[in-house]
Amino acid sequence: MGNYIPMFVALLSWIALWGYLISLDGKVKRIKKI
Amino acid sequence: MWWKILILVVIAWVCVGAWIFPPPTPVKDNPEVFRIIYFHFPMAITTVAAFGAGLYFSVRYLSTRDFKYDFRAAISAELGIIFCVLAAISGSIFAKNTWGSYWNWDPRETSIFMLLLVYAAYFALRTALGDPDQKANLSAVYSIFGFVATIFFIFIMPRIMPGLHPGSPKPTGASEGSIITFSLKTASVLIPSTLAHIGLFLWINKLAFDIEDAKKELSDG
Repeated sequence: MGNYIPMFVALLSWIALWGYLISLDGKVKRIKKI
Repeated sequence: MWWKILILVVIAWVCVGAWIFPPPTPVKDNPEVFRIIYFHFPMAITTVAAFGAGLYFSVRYLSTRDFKYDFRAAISAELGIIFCVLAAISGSIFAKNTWGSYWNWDPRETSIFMLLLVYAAYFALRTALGDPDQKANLSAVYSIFGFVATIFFIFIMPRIMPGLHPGSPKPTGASEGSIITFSLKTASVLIPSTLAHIGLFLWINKLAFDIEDAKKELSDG
């Protein structure tokens, strides 16, 4: 196993990006429903 | 929705898998940097997929004259440039640790630079043309030639010119360098990573189109 810090940074950054994309997805769907 | 969760899980696995599995190289000096291959290679493949999607949407536009395909072709090219820059940055970090400097004008690096110029010209063309029909028609045709350039710069040029990158013929007298060993462990991270990166590209592409569509609906309504 390597250094765990880059792994955590990558993992947290990815979860943050995914969360941002999902929230955008939700916003677009709500606008389309109106 | 399920495939978005699948992308989340797979890329999270890639982050963890890149850490728990040994670096895919038998070389002893600074082997840790080889873990970057789990991100560098998928980004490069996604670049080709994105420019390929640009070609697909351009052909769809030319056959239907539906502007939504023109928009999606432009988004594909934009995302292709982003993934190409990310592949170049991760490649530079790799190069610093294996070849000694961030940028060596190796045939692979030169070809990536040329490819970025080709697609920068695509956006220059789109910006320069005012008439929407003319803009969509010319950029669709340009995008087809752009993909031909992609194939040449990614798959042909670095394989016929001697260089340091894996896959290139080696300069006379040079050693083969570090060989990446594709064990089952490496494949269990690299293959899902590549597929998930392509999935991520398709998601962002569709999302960008949906946002544009929603904006249009709001302005019309």
